[in-house]
Amino acid sequence: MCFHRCETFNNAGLQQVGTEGVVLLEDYITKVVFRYVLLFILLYAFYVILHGHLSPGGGFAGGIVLGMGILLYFLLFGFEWKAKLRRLPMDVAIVFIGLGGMLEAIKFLLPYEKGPVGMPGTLFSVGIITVVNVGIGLLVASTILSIFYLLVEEE
Amino acid sequence: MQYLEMLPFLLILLPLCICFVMPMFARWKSEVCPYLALGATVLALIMSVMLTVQVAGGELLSYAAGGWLPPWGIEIFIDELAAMMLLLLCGTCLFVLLFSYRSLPKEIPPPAAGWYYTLFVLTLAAMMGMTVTNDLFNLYVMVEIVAIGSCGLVVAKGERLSTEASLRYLMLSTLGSGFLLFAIAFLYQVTGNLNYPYVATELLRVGEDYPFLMWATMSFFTVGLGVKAALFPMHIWLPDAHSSAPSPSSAVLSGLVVKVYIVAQLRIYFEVFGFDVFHETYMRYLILFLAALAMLGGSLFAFVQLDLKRRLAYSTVAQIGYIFLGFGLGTVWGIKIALLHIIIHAFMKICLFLSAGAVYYQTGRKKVTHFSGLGYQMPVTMAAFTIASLSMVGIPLFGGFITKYGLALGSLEADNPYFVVLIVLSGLLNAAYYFPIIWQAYFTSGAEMKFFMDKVPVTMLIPIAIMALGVIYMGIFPGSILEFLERYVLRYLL
Repeated sequence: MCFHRCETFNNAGLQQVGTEGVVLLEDYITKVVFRYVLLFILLYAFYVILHGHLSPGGGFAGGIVLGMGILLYFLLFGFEWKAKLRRLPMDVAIVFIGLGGMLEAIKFLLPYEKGPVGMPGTLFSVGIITVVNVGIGLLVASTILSIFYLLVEEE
Repeated sequence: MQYLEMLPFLLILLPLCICFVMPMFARWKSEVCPYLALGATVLALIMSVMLTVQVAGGELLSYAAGGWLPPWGIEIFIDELAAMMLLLLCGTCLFVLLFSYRSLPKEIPPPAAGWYYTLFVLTLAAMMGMTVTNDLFNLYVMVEIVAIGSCGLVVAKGERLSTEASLRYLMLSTLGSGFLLFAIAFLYQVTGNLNYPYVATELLRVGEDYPFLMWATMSFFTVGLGVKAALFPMHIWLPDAHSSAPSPSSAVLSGLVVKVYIVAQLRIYFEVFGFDVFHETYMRYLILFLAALAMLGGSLFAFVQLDLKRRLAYSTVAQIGYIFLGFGLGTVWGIKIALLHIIIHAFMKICLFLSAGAVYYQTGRKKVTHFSGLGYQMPVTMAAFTIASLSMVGIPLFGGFITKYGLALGSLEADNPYFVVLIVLSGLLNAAYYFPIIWQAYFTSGAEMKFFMDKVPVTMLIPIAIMALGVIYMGIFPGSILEFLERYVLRYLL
């Protein structure tokens, strides 16, 4: 796998990033393999997120996998993205922090007897927990992406 | 009625919720953030006043989060110390926020303002959580949040110096958190509990079987929280961080953040381990020794600084020595006075830092040698500065006198008369580095002797004036607060 320095973002119209700014993967094999692997990465990420209440893993671990998948995509094809699209993860992360914080706060106020109780081994039986896990997963993925963009673009 | 029982928990949860939502406003509607932060603080203040009234009536409040009862769940416990700290935190933070409303745009880049308020409320909520929690691991979580939040408050200025200082602060406080986590893990290994009273009863039973572990745990707590509380040899991050931060955040960092770590340390020493272990592991003598070093060393270092905020930061190191001296004495009177000094020092230091901020706002001066004639150009600010400095030196009628006098009495009572000499010496050093500033401001010959009102917004003058009035109030009527605190101390020291 070889790393090339190449000119990026100039055609995206966001800001002038020098040639020494970003390191992208410019490799034919990587690109082709990645197209097939991405689906499995995303599938595995959603598997981990959705089975958060049944098996090890959950929102955070699945979110990391999801974020890494998208990050790999950015490393390969990111220079074709629009500036607005690149800022989207930050907005998503901010919104999900607000919503998720509220949901988590309610968890502390309710007595534990009133919490959701599902059937063991059944995927969609715990109500709000699955929704919260998906939310956490998206939050973590978008946080990773926005940290990466902030470091790359030095906004 | 059900909501009234939840009040101790809502107190932490509501500010936290508000600061979860605040990034949305910081991103898209940045001008709302100051009001939101002010609203959160006022809400917390109202709730803590209600709680304090209940505690003053002789009732200790406890709330189990999520209905999980104490040995298993997180317990929020509000006693006299916690109530006092809550009132102090919310009350002073309210005035600091009021100050920062006009002073921040001059000190930090405008897009960062919304994020600054988010971090401010986050730090406030986590500090309140640290003072009211009764659970060791919850304490650790809150310590981490305060560390992250306060690093953010330092770095908000966006300059090279503050970034460097904040990085150093982050590294050292992470080191401290690591030690703290080690100590908590040891305690959990030995006792199988995380709740303070349960750990304490277990330790009474099994503590003697593990003498070395007790030493290790005790010293890990001392180092872990001591780094964050800037006990003398571990203070090296403090002067940089506190002097390069924007002035409202240096006021909060210097006046409140280091204090909550001290309160946590006090709780662990006296509620979890008990005074006997504190004494028998020689940790008490270590604390006394370091406190004595801090009182002298901090003052000596402060004496040679030319930057005003740096001088104030080193003075904080010295004042933390006073607080630890009170703990180290280990008598009821000593601890009571140390707790009183936490309040008084918060008022003094916030007043001093805010005045420094106001001076910078009007004149742009930072050096202590450039204060000539400021007493006439900024009468209100310099009057407050003078009151707080006199209190630092320990002149009667001001708050600092009560604690210096009390600590001297306490050290005589505990058969340690050497500390009286140290206290007097440290007071003289304080005079040596505060009086030249005041002298310059009022009595420089050649300066224009014509009174102007301060050209500083009223929202910045009111907090400074109120802090100065608070210092005077503490100096004249400390009795009721001391009685209130005595109830807490007597419960654990008999």
